[in-house]
Amino acid sequence: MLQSKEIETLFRTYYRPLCLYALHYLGDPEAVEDVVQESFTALWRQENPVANGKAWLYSAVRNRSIDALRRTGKIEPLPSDLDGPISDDDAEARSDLEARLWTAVDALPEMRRKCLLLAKRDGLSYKEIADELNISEHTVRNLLLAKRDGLSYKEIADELNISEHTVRNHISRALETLREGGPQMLDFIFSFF
Amino acid sequence: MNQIDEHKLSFVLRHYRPGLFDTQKAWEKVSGMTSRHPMRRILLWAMPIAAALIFGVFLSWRNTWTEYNAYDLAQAFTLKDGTHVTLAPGATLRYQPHKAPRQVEMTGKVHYAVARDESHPFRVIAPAATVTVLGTVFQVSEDRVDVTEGRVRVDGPQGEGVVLTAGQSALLQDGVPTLEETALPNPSAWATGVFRYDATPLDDVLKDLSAYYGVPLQVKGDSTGKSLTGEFSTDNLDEILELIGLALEIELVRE
Repeated sequence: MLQSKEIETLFRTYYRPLCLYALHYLGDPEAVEDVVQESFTALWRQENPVANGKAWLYSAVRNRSIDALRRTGKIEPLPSDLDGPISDDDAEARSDLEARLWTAVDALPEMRRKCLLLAKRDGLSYKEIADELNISEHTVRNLLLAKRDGLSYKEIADELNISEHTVRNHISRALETLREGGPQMLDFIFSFF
Repeated sequence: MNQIDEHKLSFVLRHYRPGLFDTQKAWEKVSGMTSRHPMRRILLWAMPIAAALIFGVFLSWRNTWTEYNAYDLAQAFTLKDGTHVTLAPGATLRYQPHKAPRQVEMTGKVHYAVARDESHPFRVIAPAATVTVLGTVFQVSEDRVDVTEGRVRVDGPQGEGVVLTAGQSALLQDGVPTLEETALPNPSAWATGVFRYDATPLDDVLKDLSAYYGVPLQVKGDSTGKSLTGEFSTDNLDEILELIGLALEIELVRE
């Protein structure tokens, strides 16, 4: 039986990677968290010795994910990414870096993250993103916030009326952050957990 | 970013939502659940035991006996219902104040001034009789019951009973209480500390005092036709004898 301190370390290290791993199976973030949390609870109650906590957890999450898929009627539950099925080994191998990317996206400044998501996830053009953000940002609340922060009207206008060029700029800087600083920054973030 | 990384990023961005897969929140949830779990298991079997224990404690509390003893001297106590009891030397009394506050068991001689409660009779269980009253002053000993105030019902072990009123006594012999006509005037002086006489013939006064002090008393001279009215505290026999002697112009001596 593992000590609760060991389980906490496993949790803080592998919770998000396991979520990404389960996401390759289930494709539904809500279901993913249940499966991973149940697996940790099961590890906690495990009375036999567990030599390799990480391997035990991946296997538990896999089994639970497959069970969940079988319940929804899938005959041969396989992990997949956006392009189609991948191998279980692949899903496990990818989960670590994907968890880091997830954390890096989380850590991006909001405007950059929005631009990135609208472009890469939703496939909007930079023009569309600029329009979208201009509408959503043109709110009294944000104006007040900007004023409170002591921005000049010029700066507020710049902040709110972002151009195509600004969008492109935001995205390239976001990608740069993820590419260059991402994994290293994530190590840094993990060390805080 | 190479090709594989692009796949990974696309996959992440496809599913990304702010606040999702929050390690800290999830940890609080999971650790909260699991750390509570063993406690729940303990509670499952511990609660009936605890309940039984509490019930047992309650029962034993309810059934607790309070006991009084008098050794060398008469001892006075007040029971839960306000009844005053005075135990003669060697007497014992016990009762269950939480279960039956108006029922006492006793041995020896005990004087009672029972707090009045019409709806709850006060019961004395003595070796020779059971005495039931509402609110009176009386005393019970091994062989007699003496009533100072009110009415008392005395039942023998075989069920025969008599009702006594103030000034009456019952002798308890062979399990049958019988009314005693020649009761001593102050059967409870030992407990109350007071001798009260109301035109009591002098011979009865001497019997009374003799019985109380355990000393035979005699009149020097003629005592016929003399009677006593008055009240004495029992502190000092010699003082009482002197007072009576002065009042009746006689001389009283110890034998």
